[in-house]
Amino acid sequence: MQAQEAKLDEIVGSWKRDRSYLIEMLQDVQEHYRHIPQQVARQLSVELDVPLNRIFHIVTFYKGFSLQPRGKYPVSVCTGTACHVKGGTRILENIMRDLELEHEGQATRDRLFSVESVRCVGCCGLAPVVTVGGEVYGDTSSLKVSKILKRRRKLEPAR
Amino acid sequence: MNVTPQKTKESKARVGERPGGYRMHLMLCAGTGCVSSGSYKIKDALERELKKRGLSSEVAVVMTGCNGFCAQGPVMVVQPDEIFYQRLGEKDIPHLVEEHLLKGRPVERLMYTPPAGKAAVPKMSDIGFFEKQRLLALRNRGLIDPEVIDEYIARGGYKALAQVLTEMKPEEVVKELIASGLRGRGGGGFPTGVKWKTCREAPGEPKYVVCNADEGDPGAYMDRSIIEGDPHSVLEGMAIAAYAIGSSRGYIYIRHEYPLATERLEKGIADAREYGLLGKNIFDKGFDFDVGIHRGAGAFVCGESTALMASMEGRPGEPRAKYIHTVEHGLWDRPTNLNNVETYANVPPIILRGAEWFTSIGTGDVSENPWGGSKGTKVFSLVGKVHNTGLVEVPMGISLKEIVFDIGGGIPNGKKFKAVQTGGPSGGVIPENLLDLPVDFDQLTKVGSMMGSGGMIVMDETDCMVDIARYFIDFLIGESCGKCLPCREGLTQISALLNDICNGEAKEDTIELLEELSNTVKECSLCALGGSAPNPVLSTLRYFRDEYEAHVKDKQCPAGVCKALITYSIDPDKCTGCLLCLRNCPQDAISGEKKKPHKIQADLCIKCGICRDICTYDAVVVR
Repeated sequence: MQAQEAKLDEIVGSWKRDRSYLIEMLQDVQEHYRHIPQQVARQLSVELDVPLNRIFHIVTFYKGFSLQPRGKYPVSVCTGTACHVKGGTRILENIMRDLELEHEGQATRDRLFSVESVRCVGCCGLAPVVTVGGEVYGDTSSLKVSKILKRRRKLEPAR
Repeated sequence: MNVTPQKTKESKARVGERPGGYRMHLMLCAGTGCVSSGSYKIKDALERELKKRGLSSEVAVVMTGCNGFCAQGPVMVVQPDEIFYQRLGEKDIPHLVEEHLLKGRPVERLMYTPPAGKAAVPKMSDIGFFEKQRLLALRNRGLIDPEVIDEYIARGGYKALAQVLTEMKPEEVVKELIASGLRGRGGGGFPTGVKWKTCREAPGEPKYVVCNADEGDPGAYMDRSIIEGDPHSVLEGMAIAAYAIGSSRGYIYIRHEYPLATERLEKGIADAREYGLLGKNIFDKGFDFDVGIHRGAGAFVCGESTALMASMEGRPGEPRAKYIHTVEHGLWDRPTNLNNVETYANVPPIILRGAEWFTSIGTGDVSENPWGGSKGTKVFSLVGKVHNTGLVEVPMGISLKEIVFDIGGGIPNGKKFKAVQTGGPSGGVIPENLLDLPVDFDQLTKVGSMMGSGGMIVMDETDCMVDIARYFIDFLIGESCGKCLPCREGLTQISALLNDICNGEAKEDTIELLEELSNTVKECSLCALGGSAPNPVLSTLRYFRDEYEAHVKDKQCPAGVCKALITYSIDPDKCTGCLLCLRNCPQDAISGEKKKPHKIQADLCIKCGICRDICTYDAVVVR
């Protein structure tokens, strides 16, 4: 609990407690916890004297935030137009089925991966594109991605 | 002109003349595309090999911004010969270093060969993809290391800023911009100079200069490449704008999906501050200007000016009605000048070479009316079903045919061209019979599409136009802020109608209802997002109505996309019985023996398309 408070203090401090950087602070929270924990949202509301409902309005408005923890390696399947015409949407469906995920943003049981569609990562020349933990893979396919994920999982220390 | 502090002189010595320097430069692309294709591995391999051969002091490896020819990555240009290498692998490097760099024999095997041609093309400027391009916004593309400010300065960077500060009054800068006919490259096409003038004359202090780098259009990445490849061109453009309108504070609003671009901007801003090109009393002329960065958090609507500013103030990005203009009441209710990345990047060359030069490129006449034509160039991301995917900058007025076929090299896999989509989710499709259309702001609007920020997605006969319309509408449903009803509810209903059509459940009158509803949403929405949202539906209906009717009347999807209307089967004549699809089918819906034609069991098949993706004999048929 104390660690959580200290972390938030650090984040708020790094933006000089300026409320106009609320979105940036939330981004840092998201990055650190891989989601926006309720407790932290409440604290932030008190710290900055911003109504809690406004924080939730922001968190649910922007796609970059999630209320559920994302996986250690978030998998973003690009469904920008170029990727869509080259089968990106099908890749998304196939990976979700492969990892037994019911809805976007959900994490696998081992919390290693979570899958989301993203509208254009800006690598349209290499469509279809998938990013795994921030690494960009171009000219990909359902099978290629499933191999990448399997390899990634093997590299993880057993838990 | 003496550009500035001492450091600049040193930099010129280092970059321009390279004393005791290198006889060759290997310009290796470090754009996001090439990085994901492995360009940093190539860099390591090159440096290893150069060291081994004792060439490290003669040949330098320079990591540049996006070269544009992303399809062929990783790409590298050897200067000064301008030899273009593509699809480099680590294994190619020892041979390349020995043959080209030691013995002076360029390696043909690693050069580009056009799809139709047989002979490799050694020089970059002779390759069809580059031949018809004209680089203004991308003037430093592939020529500099974007992280080294000295290299930007050595190529004439910040000279335009020096010129406006020492020789021009702010009013003169505005006048020059109006005369140039430069129009907003973010898609709106509003004359930049006119916007600056209004902002300059608007009452209220302080004034802000904001750069819109929230490149949200799916299928477009021009702004990302400009920032990643030449961040200072944007900063310089912003500084000139600030001087012209009387501002001392700038912000760049950038998508969080672009981490590399953000990093380069941060470095660029820090370097410019250190050189005295940002900060207080720039060029000792009493002009102060500094730039901060705001990261977006993932919302397409934040590309809209009022939503963007709401987001910068730390609020949800909801637009407001447009009768209050942001040039008068923008960020924190102060006069704010908002331009797009590419627009700012165009400013320095206009100042240096003059409005007259700029107006010699492009269409129409802007001498009386700034809306009278489209001047200069436009950067497009040419992607989708085209051979040479990548980033291209072309003069306004070039025909679509030249872009798709001469630069893009036509459609791969022997497929037929169907349409090109421009303008992102607010744009439309342009069919084959309009391919001779000259590309500029007004022509594209006339045919029911728009320039947009520059996404150009080529589609072939296997792309279903109803599916494309549904794709854009679903995108916009997710991105609609929900403030006004026509957009929030209207789009949901449009999507339901399109789903009916794609699922073969539409009734006779569905298409008319769709058309009527689309027009209502277009008329009644609050902001441009909703107002232009039905465009993909209306434009596909305009040019491909027969395809809609095939879905409704014949329950068929001619392109073979809509899952409910298609079946997968295997052509026994083409199937060699290799077992590949059978092993990879997630449903075990494929049966057969080795070397005998396989079969797909229709009731088990979920139409995931994996079998078609991996079949090397093109034996999986979709009907």
